[in-house]
Amino acid sequence: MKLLVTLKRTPQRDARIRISEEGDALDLDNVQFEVNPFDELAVEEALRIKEARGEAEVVVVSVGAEECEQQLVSAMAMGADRAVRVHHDGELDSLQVAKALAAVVEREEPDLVLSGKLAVDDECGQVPAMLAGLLGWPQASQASDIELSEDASGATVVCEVDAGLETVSLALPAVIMADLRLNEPRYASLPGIMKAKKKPIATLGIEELGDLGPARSRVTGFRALEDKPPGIKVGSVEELVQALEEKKLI
Amino acid sequence: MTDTLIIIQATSNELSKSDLAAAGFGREAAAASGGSFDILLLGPSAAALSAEVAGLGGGTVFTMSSAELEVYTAEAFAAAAAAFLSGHPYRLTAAATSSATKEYFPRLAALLDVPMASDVLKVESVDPQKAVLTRAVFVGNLLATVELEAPQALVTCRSSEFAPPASGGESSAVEPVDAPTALASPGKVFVGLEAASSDRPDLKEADIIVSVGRGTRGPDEGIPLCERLADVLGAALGATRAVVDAGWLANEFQIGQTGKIVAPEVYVAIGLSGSIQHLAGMRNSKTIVAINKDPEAPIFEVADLGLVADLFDAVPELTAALESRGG
Amino acid sequence: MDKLNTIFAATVTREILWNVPTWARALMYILFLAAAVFCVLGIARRVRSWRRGREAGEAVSPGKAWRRLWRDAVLQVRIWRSGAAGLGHALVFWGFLVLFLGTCIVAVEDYGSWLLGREHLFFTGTFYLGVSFALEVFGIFFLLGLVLALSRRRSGERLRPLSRPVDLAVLWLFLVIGLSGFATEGLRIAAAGGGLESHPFERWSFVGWWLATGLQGLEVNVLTSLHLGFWVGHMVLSMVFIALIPYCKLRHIFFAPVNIALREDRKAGRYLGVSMEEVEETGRYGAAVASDFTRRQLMSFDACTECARCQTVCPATATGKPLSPMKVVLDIAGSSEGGESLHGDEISPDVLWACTSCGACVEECPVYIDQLGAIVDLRRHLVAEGEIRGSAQAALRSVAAAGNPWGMPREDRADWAEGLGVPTIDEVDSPELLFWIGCAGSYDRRSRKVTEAMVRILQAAGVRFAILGKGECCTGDPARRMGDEFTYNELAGANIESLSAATFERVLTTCPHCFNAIRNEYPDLGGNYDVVHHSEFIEELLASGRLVLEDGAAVRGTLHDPCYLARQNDVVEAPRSVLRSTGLDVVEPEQSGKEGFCCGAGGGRMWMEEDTGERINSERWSQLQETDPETVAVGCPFCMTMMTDARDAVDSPVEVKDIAELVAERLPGSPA
Repeated sequence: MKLLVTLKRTPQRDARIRISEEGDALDLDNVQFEVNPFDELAVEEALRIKEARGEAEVVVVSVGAEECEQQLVSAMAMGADRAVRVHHDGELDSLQVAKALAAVVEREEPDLVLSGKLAVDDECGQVPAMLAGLLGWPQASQASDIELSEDASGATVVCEVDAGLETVSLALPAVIMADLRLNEPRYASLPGIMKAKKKPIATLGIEELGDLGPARSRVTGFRALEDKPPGIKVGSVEELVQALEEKKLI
Repeated sequence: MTDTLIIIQATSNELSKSDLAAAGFGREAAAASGGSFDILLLGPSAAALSAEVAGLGGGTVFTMSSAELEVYTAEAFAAAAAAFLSGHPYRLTAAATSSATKEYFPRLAALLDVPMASDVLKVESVDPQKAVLTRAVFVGNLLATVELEAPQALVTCRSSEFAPPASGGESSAVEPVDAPTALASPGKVFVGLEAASSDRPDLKEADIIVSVGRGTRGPDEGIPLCERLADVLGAALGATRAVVDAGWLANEFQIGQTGKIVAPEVYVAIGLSGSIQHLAGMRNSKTIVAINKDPEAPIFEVADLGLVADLFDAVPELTAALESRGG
Repeated sequence: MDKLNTIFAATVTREILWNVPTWARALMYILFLAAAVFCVLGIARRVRSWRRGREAGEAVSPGKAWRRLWRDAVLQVRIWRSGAAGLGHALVFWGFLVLFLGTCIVAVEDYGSWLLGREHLFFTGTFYLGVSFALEVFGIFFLLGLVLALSRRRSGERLRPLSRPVDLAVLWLFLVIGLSGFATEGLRIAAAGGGLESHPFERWSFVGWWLATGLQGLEVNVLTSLHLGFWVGHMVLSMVFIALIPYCKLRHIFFAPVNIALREDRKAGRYLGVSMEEVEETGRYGAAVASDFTRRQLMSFDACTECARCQTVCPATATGKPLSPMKVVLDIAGSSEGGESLHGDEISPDVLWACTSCGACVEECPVYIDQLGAIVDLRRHLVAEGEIRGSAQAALRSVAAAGNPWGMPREDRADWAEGLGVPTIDEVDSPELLFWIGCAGSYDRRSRKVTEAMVRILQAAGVRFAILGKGECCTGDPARRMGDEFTYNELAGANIESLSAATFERVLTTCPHCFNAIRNEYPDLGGNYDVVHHSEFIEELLASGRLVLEDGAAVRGTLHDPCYLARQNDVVEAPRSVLRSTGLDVVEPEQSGKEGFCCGAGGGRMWMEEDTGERINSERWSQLQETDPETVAVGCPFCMTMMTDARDAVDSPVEVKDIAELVAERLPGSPA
């Protein structure tokens, strides 16, 4: 079977993100990047499915400029077999990305698409569900457990919903979005990193993928939350309650 | 086309706080666009809820239900909403952020080919061709201004940021609409729901965490006081490694480098000094409150609110104060 | 005169194989042939298994090899450290060696005289008497050693969870061989040539003589029959022993000296690097199967005597973790002839992650096995498989991404220095010292106090120093100990680049892990620096008079030696001397200096949960409390954390302080 995992290059979790002086962009010059942690869960899950079934191809795909190949290599260092990069240098909105990915899916014809439930940078969490919508495939979000049927025609997925744990069954092909408790990703190992360097990355021009439409959702400015004021000491429980109320925390 | 539609999921017979907040968003968006807002109740309880929803200040309350909307699935709800919206184009279509709207709204956006903004905190402006909204990015560390340049757009809104509209106004008209057929995707079957236990929230998910250190002197002394505080706050309980080592609480409660890494809205650190291993697990919390009798404890260096006091006095007092607020 | 004449007469000898009929001699040769074939085949199999290993390391010069053999094989120097057990082994070894040489002499005499057609060669007169006497003495050594070993096992004096029935059987086999040898001799002296009177010179074989006098009442034909019986028994058992050697722990008789002579010259704190090119070429990293080890490593595992000293000193074993360094070594040796995976139920990830890399096992091993090196190679395989999860993985990711294992922001690294007048390297022209702060010293609020104390000391002594500031990042020590060479190389490479771009005389560290990595491991990557631990540097400052401390009240205290300072780098005296000059009355705990007991934080354990058995830090804390200290002095940020946690766990009022803090308190003008 073929598993397609979408992934995004996002700033490293502990990085301190600064805003450019003009306030309209982020200053990411000294920031290190990594595979979006939720997408990494999706990669891990794909690898586990591959290992459990003995035979499957794991393809990772990302939309972005050349530097996002580092993240594709990271995923291949974990064990993904090959990568596809849709080349685009610049901003795209979620729907454009979803359309580009849908075009890749139509070319690759995977049995299952796995994604993270959201990207930790913009925290939109839109692309995978849009992709499912564009493809007309069933979807399962915030998955904490995925079990494939023996003949790989369907999957039973446990989703973490507000009310508790929801179990759904999906006919494949489908799109499943990984949540935190789905698994614990493996560490990209040294031989894995070495092997990944030799695995193929196919590059597709975004213009090859049909009309993605205009970008209609744009971030035009950033603001820091009011700089966290220095901590204060309160003198009594009463003052503490008052301060919490002022901050709308209770 | 200046109006806003609020979609409320009507799969239970009760309106939730977030449904009311969504109506609050509707009112704000309507004010910004110079129009009004309507409400679409989607699901088996649509009719049952319509009377109450009619009092939220919207223009029309539409109700839609069918066998295929009996149980929520993203596929059916997105299809139903898409069908409704193709007949009723709205400037903005919004719902409160929830596990359901997180998955069916983007799907809906794809079906309609319209842009979307997730988990919006504030409406800046709504013009016919452009809606400007504010939302949080990077784990809430930054605010981003998002412009949706389209005559139609989708929004999910964070319910804590929008006040429910004052009730008691004119009652809206209720208009049942037919649900289209063949909504549900043949590929998706709802199997079951295991309700979350009513115990304290999960550490990783909790908005508030009450975390206990060695200063609590164990399960027979300070920890029950802190548990009571956690219950009043609806908070999860966490602990330092020392507390877990002492066997006072199980491993799953441990926060820190070798335990869980958390970033709640509020982190209440009680009787813990704040070693680096512990800080590594909670330093991204939005607001850190520390109660410790040692004014030199390093936790005060990262705390937003510090109270130098004996926790055995302060914690019960705080619990009582919060209870009396009716929290 | 008569007596002397008799003694020096050519008849002063004995008939070799007296009273041994042809069938018994034939039996001896057949059995010997069989035993020798068995033995040689066994050894050949082991040697073949080594040859499957990788080739690596430098050859040892013959001179050095012989010196090592003389010291640790012949003189048994290293084994003397372990008290009664060492004495027992030395007695058995020397007894065995001399008895073996005696047998060789007899054989040479016998075949030599037969070949040359002479009645005797040299086994006569004084030589005969001397050899006989020596054999008696060393025979007694042999028996004494065995009795000592047996009685220790009987009294259950030592923890020997891995002592198997076969080990006891070997001791009894030796004992019976030794006793039957003496009995054979006694019976011969009593019966040969018509009795004692015919060979009074045999008094030199004093044990045999004494036995013979006791046997005098018996008839000669009884004596000769008994003699033959004992001879056959002695001979058969000796052949059994020869055949057994390669198949049980007795193989160390051959392999321990080989390892002692040919072992690699490397400190336990300096790990064998991995060539990235090789990994790229082979796709292999770490030890999955025995043949992934080097030939020399495989050879060393066969040297194991199964003495269990390594696990006796292992802090993981001592606190109930599943790790036994000896068992790891034996498991590898046990699988070296097959090609099966080493990883599984026996060598599980829990076993491998339990190691604190303290190096106590390596330090203790009488035959110089590097158990730690083996464990690291096995860990590398886990890393290769991505089998490093949870908090350990998080620490590795943080160290790679943020340059510190806690994931604190890089740009905050020098925040501690604000307002302290600490210059960065680009602000000072060729300073005397580059003060390497380390991650804990930079971010950990407790360790920052140590950094600040060290700054006060340097400023008081007028030392021109600078820091790298934000350009410093983790040395890579945690990554390397956890088996991640890739991350180690990246970090070490970056640091070497920063260090080499700067001009300074020496590097000062307050962290022994940084100290060890920069001093012992960076040279392998081309970074050669003169590195000094703060205890050594303060000692120098005091000795040269650059630093003067105020007198104060004496405090009773103890020192917890950091493994990476004392054991891995032989810095034992400096911290003590510095502490004494601060007025600390240093009371030594039972395990200290190079024999110190780990705090539990090394080898990446700092970033892993310890959920099996007792806590290592608590165990160490109780050991230290036996000295009844007011202050526990430490010289390492990890030890600081572990000792402080252990103290807090028992609500003890004892202070835990770094050497630098104790010194800074005695700086002129410091509040006491």
